[in-house]
Amino acid sequence: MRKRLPTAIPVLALTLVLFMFSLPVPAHHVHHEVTRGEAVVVSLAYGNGSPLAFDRYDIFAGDGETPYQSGKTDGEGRIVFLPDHGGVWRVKVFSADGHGADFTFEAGPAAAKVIEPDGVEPPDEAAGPDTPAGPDKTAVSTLTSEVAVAEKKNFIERYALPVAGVGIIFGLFGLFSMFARRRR
Amino acid sequence: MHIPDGFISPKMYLPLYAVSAGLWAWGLRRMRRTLDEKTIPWLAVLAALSFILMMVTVPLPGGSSVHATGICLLAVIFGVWAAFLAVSLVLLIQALLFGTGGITSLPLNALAMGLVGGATAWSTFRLLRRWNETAALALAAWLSVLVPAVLVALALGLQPLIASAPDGTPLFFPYGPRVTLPALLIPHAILGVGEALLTVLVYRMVDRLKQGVRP
Repeated sequence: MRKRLPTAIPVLALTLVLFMFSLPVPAHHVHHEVTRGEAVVVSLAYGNGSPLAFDRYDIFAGDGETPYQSGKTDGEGRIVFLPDHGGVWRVKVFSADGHGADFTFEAGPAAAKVIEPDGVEPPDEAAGPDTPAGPDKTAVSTLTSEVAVAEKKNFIERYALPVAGVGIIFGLFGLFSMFARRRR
Repeated sequence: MHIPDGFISPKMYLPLYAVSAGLWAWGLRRMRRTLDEKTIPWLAVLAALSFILMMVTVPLPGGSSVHATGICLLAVIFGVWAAFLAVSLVLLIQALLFGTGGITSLPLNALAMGLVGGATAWSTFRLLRRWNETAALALAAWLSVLVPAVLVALALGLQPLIASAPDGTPLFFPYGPRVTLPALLIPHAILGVGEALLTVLVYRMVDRLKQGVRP
């Protein structure tokens, strides 16, 4: 026993040091935390309304080349992400047959809140105890105006632009006929 | 088959723009020689038909969608160069007005659909029309959809090989040819049947309405 003691002391000391610097959880444990908050939702659909479902996408912050987020759209053609800062964001969506989109938009930083263990969102401290529950009127009016703009855009895209396109084709060919040879 | 902006690397679209510009100029000269004031209105009508056809998307199972093109009609009636120029114009208008198909991908779309699709249709029809005109027309229309689909699939599939970041991340389009070829060929093989039927119908109609419309 006397001979073993000098060897055992450093081993014990090393174990103690490692124990002091270790996390209070097993090394392979994966944490999870369920949060609820304001995220940016990008919805993607073809002209006929069918969603770009389960297609690959990349989101870039500004002009960055490394994606901030990558993944696949959900079954409804949606991308949900939480920007970490405000500014311009670029979204690229690819389907394997070459359909897709590449566009930019501005978004502010999203905020996520931790849900209480029982699944109830913590109360908003800024709101008083007598604040009546009900729909957010600002949000509703914004949504209504967005729908109106979308309907107007749909009408223009569906009817006015195709007519304009046909008109341009006839106009250009009419112009070309002025320089074409005359039939004898 | 309208590839949007941001999917094709400049390594590909810049040389294609140079090739297309030369071919557009050459085609315009050819058209001035072969078309006249009687045939140009018919070409305008069929170009407008192609424009409308390309906007009517047919949804397919699996979420994808396809559309007819009318390129075979243009090529068989007016020749390859007229088809190439008319389709290029249609693609340009669609890109500018609707954002359907990109400006950077315009030469690839135009060369694949207008020139190669038109040339495939024209040569197939010329080769087989003595055997059976209707069958030749149908096959020409089917191939005018399928052959450009092969080219577009290969062009897209090349993107990860020619334009990737040092860590291997694709910069423009992520799928290789093993993914793009079946993704494009299967829907377009089905679409080609519809295109063939439509081409035969409209060709007969144009033939009856206007004898001697061909340049």
